[in-house]
Amino acid sequence: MDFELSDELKDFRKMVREFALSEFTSEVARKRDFEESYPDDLRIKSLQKGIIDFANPWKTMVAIEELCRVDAGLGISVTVPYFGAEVIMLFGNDAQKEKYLSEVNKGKKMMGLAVTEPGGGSDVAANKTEAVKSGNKYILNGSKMFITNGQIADFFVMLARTSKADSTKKHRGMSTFIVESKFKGFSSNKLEGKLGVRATNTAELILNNIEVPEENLIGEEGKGFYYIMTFFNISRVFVAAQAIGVAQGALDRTLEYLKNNAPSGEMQNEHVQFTLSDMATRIEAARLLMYKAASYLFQFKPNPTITSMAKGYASETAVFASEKAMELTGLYGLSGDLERYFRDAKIMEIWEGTSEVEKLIIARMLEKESDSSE
Amino acid sequence: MNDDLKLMKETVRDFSTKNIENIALKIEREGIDKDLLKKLAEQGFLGATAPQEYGGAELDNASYRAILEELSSFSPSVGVLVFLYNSIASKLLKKGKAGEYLKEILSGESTLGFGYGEILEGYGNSTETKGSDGRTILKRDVIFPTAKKFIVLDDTGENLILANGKIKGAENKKSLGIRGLGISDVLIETSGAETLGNRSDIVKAIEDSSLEIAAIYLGIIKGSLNKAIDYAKVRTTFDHFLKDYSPVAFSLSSLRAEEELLRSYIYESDADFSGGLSALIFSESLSKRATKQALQTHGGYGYLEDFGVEKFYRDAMTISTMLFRGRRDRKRLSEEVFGTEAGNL
Ligand SMILES: Cc1cc2nc3c(=O)[nH]c(=O)nc-3n(C[C@H](O)[C@H](O)[C@H](O)COP(=O)(O)OP(=O)(O)OC[C@H]3O[C@@H](n4cnc5c(N)ncnc54)[C@H](O)[C@@H]3O)c2cc1C
Repeated sequence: MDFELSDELKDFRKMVREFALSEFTSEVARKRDFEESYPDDLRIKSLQKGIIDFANPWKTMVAIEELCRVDAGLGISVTVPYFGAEVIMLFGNDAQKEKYLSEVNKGKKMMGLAVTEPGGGSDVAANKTEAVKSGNKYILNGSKMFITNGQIADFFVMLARTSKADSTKKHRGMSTFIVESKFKGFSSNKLEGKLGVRATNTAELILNNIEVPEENLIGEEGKGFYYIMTFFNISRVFVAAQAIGVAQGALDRTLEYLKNNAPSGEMQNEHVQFTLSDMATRIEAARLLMYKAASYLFQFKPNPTITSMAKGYASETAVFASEKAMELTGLYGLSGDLERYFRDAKIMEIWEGTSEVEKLIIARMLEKESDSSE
Repeated sequence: MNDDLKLMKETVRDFSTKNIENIALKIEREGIDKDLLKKLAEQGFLGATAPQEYGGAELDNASYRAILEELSSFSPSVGVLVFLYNSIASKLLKKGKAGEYLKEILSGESTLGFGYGEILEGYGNSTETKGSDGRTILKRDVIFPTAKKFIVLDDTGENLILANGKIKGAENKKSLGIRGLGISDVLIETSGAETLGNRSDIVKAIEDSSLEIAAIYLGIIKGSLNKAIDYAKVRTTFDHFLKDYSPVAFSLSSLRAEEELLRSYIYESDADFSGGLSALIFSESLSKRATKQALQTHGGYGYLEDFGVEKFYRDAMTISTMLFRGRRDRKRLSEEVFGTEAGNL
C-alpha cells in the first residue's frame, strides 16, 4: 500500500496549482460570480497549458481538485466541457467517438449530460422525456432541468424513454442519445440566481419534436439507465475531487487569515486549533476515500460503494469546512473570498446524486455484498 | 403565549403575506424600497420599542420579539433592519439633532446604515484618508450602504458618530446575506457629524439584545422549515412523497421540535440565567442546521433563488458572523456558568 501519488502526478499537481493561482484571481472569480458568466477564455487557456488531459483520469482528478481549491466556479467551468464524455467513450461506436468526442478533446466543442427533468432528479427512472422511432430517426419530446452547459454546449448525451414504463421495472426502456443543440426543435432557458458555482452555465432544455438521426443512439436501445448509472459511478469520483478542492481551499484561506490578518494570538486559541484540526482530518479522510475509489475505478474495477462513500463524505466535508472557515474568519471571510466557498460548497451535496441518494446506494450495496461475503 | 401576543403575531403575519411575501425575491435582488419602509413605519414596526415622542410604539419586549420573528420568517433582511433601528439606533440617537434624525428614520422618511465592524467587534475596521481640504474621510464597511446617514466610530476609534456617507460606487459584489440591506464600503464624512457616545455603548446595545437576535434566528428557522415541510408534502420521488421517507420526516420534524422549544424559551425567558445567551447560542446553531436541511430538501430547486429557501441559508450564516460573536459570546456564557474567568485559552 502506497499513499503517495507518482512523481509525475506530483509535478502535474504543482503545475495546476500555479496555473490556478495565477489565473483564478479574486477579481476574475468575483466578476464571473457576480455576472453569472462562463469564463470561456480560461477554458481555452487551460487547454493550451495542458491542465486538462481527459485521456488521463488521474490527472483529471488532480486537476479538478487543485482548480476548485482556488475557485470552484472557475475550476468546474474549465473542467466541465467534457461532462458526459465517458458515456460515449464506453458505450458509443467509433463513428460517434470520431465525430463528437475528438472535437471535444481538442477543445473545439463542448458537451453536456442531460438526465434530470423538472419532475425529478434523484429518481432517474421516472424520466418522462420520450423518444419515438420514426423511420431512421427518433423524435424527442420533453424537457430537461438544471443542465450544466445547457446554453453553451454543442451537444448533449441525453436520456429518454424509448418504450413505455413498466410499473415494476421502470428503469427499463430508457435509451441515451447524442442530441445537438442546433437540431430543430431544441431550445434552452438560462437558469439564473444560483447560490454558488455561478460561473458555470445552467439551463433548462426544451425538446419540441426534435429529430435525432438513429446513428445518434448510443449503444443499445433500452440500456440507457444502465449507461447513466455506470457514468455516475465514474463522475462521482470527480465530484469528490471538486468537493475536496473546496474544502482544502477553505482551510488554506482560513490559515492564511489566521497567520497574516487575524489579531495576534488567534492561532494559539484552542477552540481555533481544534476546529482547524477537525477540518484537516476530515479533508484527509475524504481524500483517502477518493483515492481508493479512483484506484479501483481507473483500474477498471469500479467499486460503487466506495465511490458513493467518497462522493458523499467529500461533499459533506466541503460544506463543513466552508462553514467552519466562515466562523473562524468573521468579517474577513464575509467580505472576502471565503463566502464564495460557503455558497459553492452546497452544490456538492446536490448534484450527481444527492447525499441521500449516495446513502441509499451504499446501503443497497452493503445488503448485496453481505450476501456474497466470505 | 398569551392572547395579546398571539394577536400581535397574527397581525405581523398578515402584514408580511400582503407586503413582503410577494416581493421577497425583489427585496433580495434590489433591496428594501421606500414603499416598504413607509408601510413598516405605519404599522409601528420600525420603531416598535422606541419612545412615542420619536414616533415609536413603546411595545413590550415580547411583542417586539414577535415582530422580529414573523418578519424574519418572510425576509430576514427586514427583520434585521427593524432590529437595528430598535435595538441600536433608538438607544443611541437620543438628543438634539440625533433625536430628530431618529424621528426621520422611524417614519420611513430617511434611512440609517450601521458600521459593520462597530457592531461586530466594537471597532471601525478600515482606513481613513484626508480630503483635499484636510477633512477626514473614513472608509467603512457598513450594513445598508445606500442609507443617507451612518452610525460609525470616528477616526480615534473611541467615539460613536452619526455622519453622512456615500457608497463608494457599485462594486462587483453582492453580500453573502441580508441582501435586502446590503453590505459594502462607504466613504464617511466626519465633519459636521453628531457625537453619540463611545464604543462601549454599541457593544452594550448588542450584548443586551441576545433574545432579540435569537428571535430573528427563530424567524429564519421557521421560514425555512415552513418551506421545506410544504415541499416535502408535495414532491414525489420513487413514487412516494418526500415526507414519507424516514430521514426526511425525522430530520424536519425534530428541527421543528427544537424550533418550538426555542420559541417557548424566547417568549418566557424571564428566568433566564444568562441574559439570553443560552437562547442566542442555541438559536445560532439551530438556524444553520435548519436552513441547511431546508435547502437540501428542495434538491436542485433549493440551489436557485426563485424558491426563496437559499436566502435563509445565506442569511443564517451572515447574521452569525455579524451579530453573533461566536467565541466571545461563548466565553460570556462560560463565565456565567463558572462564575469566573473561563475559556481564555
Ligand atoms: C447547478 C446545478 C447543475 C446541475 N447540472 C446537471 C447536469 O448537468 N445534468 C443533469 O442531468 N442534472 C444536473 N443537475 C441536477 C441534479 O443532479 C439534481 O438536482 C439532483 O439529482 C437532485 O434532483 P432533484 O433536484 O430533482 O431533487 P429530488 O430528487 O426532488 O430530491 C429532493 C430531496 O429529496 C431527497 N430524496 C429524494 N429521494 C429520497 C429518498 N428516497 N430518501 C430520502 N431522501 C430522498 C433528495 O436527496 C433531496 O434532498 C444540476 C443541478 C444543479 C442545481
